[in-house]
Amino acid sequence: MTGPGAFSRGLLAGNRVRPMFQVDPGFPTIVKLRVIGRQQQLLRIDFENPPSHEAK
Amino acid sequence: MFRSRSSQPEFLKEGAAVEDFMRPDRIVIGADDEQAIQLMRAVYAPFQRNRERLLVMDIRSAGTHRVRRQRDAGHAHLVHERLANLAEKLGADIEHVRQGIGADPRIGYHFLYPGLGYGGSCFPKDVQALQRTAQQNGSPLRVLAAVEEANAAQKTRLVDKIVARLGQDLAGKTLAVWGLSFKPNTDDMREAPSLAVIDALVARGARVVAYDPVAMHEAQRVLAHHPGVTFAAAPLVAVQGADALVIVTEWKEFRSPDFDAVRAALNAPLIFDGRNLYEPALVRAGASSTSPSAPPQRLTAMRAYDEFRERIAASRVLVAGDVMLDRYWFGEVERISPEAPVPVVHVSRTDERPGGAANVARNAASLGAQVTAAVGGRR
Repeated sequence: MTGPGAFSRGLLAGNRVRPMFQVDPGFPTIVKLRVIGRQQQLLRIDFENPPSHEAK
Repeated sequence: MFRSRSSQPEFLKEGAAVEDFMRPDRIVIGADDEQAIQLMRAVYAPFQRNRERLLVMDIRSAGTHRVRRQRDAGHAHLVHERLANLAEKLGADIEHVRQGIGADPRIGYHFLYPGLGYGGSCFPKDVQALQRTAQQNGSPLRVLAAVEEANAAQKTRLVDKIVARLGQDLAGKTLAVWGLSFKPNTDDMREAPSLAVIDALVARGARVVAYDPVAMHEAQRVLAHHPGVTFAAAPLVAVQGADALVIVTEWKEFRSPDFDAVRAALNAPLIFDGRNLYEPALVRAGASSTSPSAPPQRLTAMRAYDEFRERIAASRVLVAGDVMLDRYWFGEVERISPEAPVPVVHVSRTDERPGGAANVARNAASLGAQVTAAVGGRR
C-alpha cells in the first residue's frame, strides 16, 4: 500500500486506532482537497472514482 | 365616510415575533360592527389559508382575552416551577413531569421549562394590569398576587442554592453568569431574572463576570451602578478563574459547552444550572456520589461528564467505511489571474489529515475509546 491510503494508516496508528484495512488495488484513496486563501475556502477538489464492485 | 374601530390584541413572543405573526395559532378580532369585521377578515385572509384562525368578539372581550391568556400562561409556568421545586424535594425528575404534563394538549410543552421565573415587559405588565383592574372592581384575584409573589421568589431560588453551597458571605468569590436577557433571542433586560440574581450576589460581596450573546450592551447600561460586575467577551472568558458558573438564560449556545475547557477555566468544577440545560441522565450520574442528605445536585454536570468520558474510554468501537484523505492547501491571495476571472492562491503551506471513516475513527479515539478501524481503505 502506498500513497494517501498508506498515509492515513500511518496517521491512524499514531492515534490509538488499530487499522484493519481492506485494500482495493483498483482504486485510489478518495482525496478531498481544499484550497484556502486568507482563511477563506475558495475551492474543494475531489479525487474520487466510483468502485467497480461493492466492498466485501 | 366610513369610520369604525377594531381591536386586535397581539400574542407575539419576543424573539419569535415574525414567526408568531406569520403563523398565528389564532387571530383575535375585537370589533363592534359588521363592516369592521369584514375588513379585518380581508386583511388577515393571507395568514389563515389552511384553517380558520379568526376569533371575532366585541372589543372589550378581545382586550380581556389577551390578559387572561397571559395570566394562564404565567400561571402554568409558575405552577410548573412550583412542581419543579416539589419534584426536587421528592427526588423526582421534573423533566419527566414536564413531558407528562405537556402531553395534555390543553397545556402543551411551550411554557413548561422550569427555571428562574418569568421576566420581560408584557407578561409582568399584563399580570399587574389585570390585578389592578380586578382590585378596582372590588373582586381582587388572589391567584394573581400568588403568581407574582411566586415569580419573585423563583428568581432568587438559584441564589439560595448558591448560598447553600458557597456560604452567605461571597466576598472574595467570583461568579461567572451566562445569560442576562430575560429569555433567549432578545436583548430585553426588563425584569430579567439575571438582575435579581446579580443584585443578590453582589449584595453578598461576590464579584460577577457576565456574558450574554446579545444583551451585553443593554446589560452594561442597566448594571452600570454595580462596579462589582464586569463583562466578558466570550463564555469561556467569563468562567476563567471563577469559583462557579451560574446559568441564568437558556441561550442555545450554552446547551453544549466544551466541558473540558469550562472545567479547566473554573477554580472548582461547579455549575448552578438555573435553566436545567444539561442532560438529566448525565447530571443524575454525577449526583449519585454525593450523600443522600445533600440537596439534589443539578450542579455537578462536570462530574457526570467525567463518568461519561470513563464509559467511553472503556468501550470498544468498530468503524467501518471508506478511508479518505483531507488535504489542505493554504496560501495568500494577492491577485486575480489574467487568464480567467479567478483568484490566484500562492500556496505556502499544505496539510493532510485522515478523512471519512478514518476521521470518525480518530475522533472516537480522541474521546478515549479503543477503536478498531475495519475500513475499506484503498490503494
